[in-house]
Amino acid sequence: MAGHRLHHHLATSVDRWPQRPAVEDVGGRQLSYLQLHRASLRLAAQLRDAGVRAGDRIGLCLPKSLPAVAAIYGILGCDAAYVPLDRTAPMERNAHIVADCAMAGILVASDQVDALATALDAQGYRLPLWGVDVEAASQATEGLFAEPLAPAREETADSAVPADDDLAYILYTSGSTGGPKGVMLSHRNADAFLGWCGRTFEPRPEDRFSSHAPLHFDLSILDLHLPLRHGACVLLIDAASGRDPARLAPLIADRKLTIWYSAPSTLALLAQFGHLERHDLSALRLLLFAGEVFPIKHLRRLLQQVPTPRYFNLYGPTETNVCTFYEIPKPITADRRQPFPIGAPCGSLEILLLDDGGRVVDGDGQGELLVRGDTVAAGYWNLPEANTKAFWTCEQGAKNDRASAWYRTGDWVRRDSDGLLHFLGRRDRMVKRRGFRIELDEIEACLYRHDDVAEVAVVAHADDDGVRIEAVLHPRQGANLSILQLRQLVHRHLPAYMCPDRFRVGGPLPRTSTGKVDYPTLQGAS
Amino acid sequence: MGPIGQQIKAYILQEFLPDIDGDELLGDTPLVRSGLLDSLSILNLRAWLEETFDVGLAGHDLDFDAFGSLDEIAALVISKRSG
Repeated sequence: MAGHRLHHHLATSVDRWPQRPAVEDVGGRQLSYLQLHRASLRLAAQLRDAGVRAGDRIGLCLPKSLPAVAAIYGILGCDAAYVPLDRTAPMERNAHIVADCAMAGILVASDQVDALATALDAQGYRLPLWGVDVEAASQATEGLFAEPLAPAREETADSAVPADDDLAYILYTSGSTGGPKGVMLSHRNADAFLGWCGRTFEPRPEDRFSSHAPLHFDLSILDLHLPLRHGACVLLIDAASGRDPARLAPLIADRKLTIWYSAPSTLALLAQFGHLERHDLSALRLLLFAGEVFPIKHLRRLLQQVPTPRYFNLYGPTETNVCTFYEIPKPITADRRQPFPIGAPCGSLEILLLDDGGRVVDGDGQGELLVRGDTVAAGYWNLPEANTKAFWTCEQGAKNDRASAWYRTGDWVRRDSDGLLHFLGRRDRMVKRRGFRIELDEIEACLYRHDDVAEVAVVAHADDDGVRIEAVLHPRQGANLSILQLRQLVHRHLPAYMCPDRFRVGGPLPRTSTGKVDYPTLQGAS
Repeated sequence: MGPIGQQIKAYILQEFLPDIDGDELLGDTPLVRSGLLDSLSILNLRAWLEETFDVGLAGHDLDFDAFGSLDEIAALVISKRSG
């Protein structure tokens, strides 16, 4: 009898399909269910020997690979939570995350041990780093994690106090206060979400899933854990293949993928640059996308090139998992301009719309979307204020009772007469690009690091191709700002998807009568 | 920088970096590693290079092996044309 924990489901699958392939990489290497399970058990035993306890947070700074998947299940097998780091982000940002959630240790690719260690020293946080030779480990199959862990740095973690042992993973997203914030997701949340996915998409052992999203992106929860509950195989797409449509299209065809899941931006690139007509993609039966609005012109083109699969628009912030979904009706007429709805709530999730005055909207109408149910996260790691703001309850005095609280998505939506929801925009200054959340305030905080920047405001413009980010700057008196240097500065401190598309240097920023930056004016002035 | 390099530079400035001072963009300025071009820009650049110079560039890593700097892109195009 399976429990609700992610690794219990893997154990159940091993009993049913021990020899079936569970994970495959782009190089064609595979782990069977039995091999994956055994590797994860070996790692869990090693981690426990190294002092890892239930409720600890363990970092994962590995490229998406066979050993990374085994490591995820190894960490979970200790009843610890995994925290994926973005290997391509500046290490300073990763070190901040490590200290923020007080990790007890990190599994890190050998080639990044030094960079991470240096950033951690600067942060002043000490903990064990276990180096993993990813290439050698990817070859190991039967012997994966049989060798003792390589302690690149043997230290005791500074302050790793165990958390609730139902915590499964923490995903960090851009935060409005200038640093990333950690969304805490429990096994119960993941189990409820994956249960809904199973009922809705009915995965089969013959299915072959794509895993395109990086591990720190919430899409990875579906594409790693769902196939492994159903005896299916997941193809791990590395970052270099993942961003190049000329490599992706043949990969989908040759590996006979049946279920694809990614942000719309990747599918839009495939439609534009993938020469899809040259490839046989007829094995695809489901095409799922989430993370941002799919521009209609690219979706239409994709549908013309890849007509067979069913297309689903999945919607939901990291805090809720997917919470609404909509199947795209085919074909898309040539005159359609407006985006498709985000659809109806998943399974037993409850939704609520609140108008500007904080009143509940009944029936048709617009409002901020609030969500409640099993898939909704308990809150943010160590951010009581953000938790208070993000959750709402209509009962007075019950504000801390998360079980009955609603998560405020910050998304403004319209409910039509069929009960379908349509995304209209944001209530705050968060935007999405390539499926990633970006708090514009975090970019501003970064640009203020430049000595010659006196004032900066970052605004977003939406167009047919998605969101473009513009930084408007006012230099200190007498200073000459180099845009090239500003771009390099952003790149040093923030992930690539957060770099503004455009920089505009000018006079003092416009202000409202109360002295605040006048964003609407800036928005219109580009 | 030769004429091909100049042509590529003009295209990059016009299409992707209209806000930067062209004099600052040197032949060896890192383009991807320093955050000047993102993956979408590189895809567009690759398509433009293939069409403009009639060369096949698929298979070259979009980030580093060929698109590191203006000099490296120009060298790649020249080697493909003469090859």
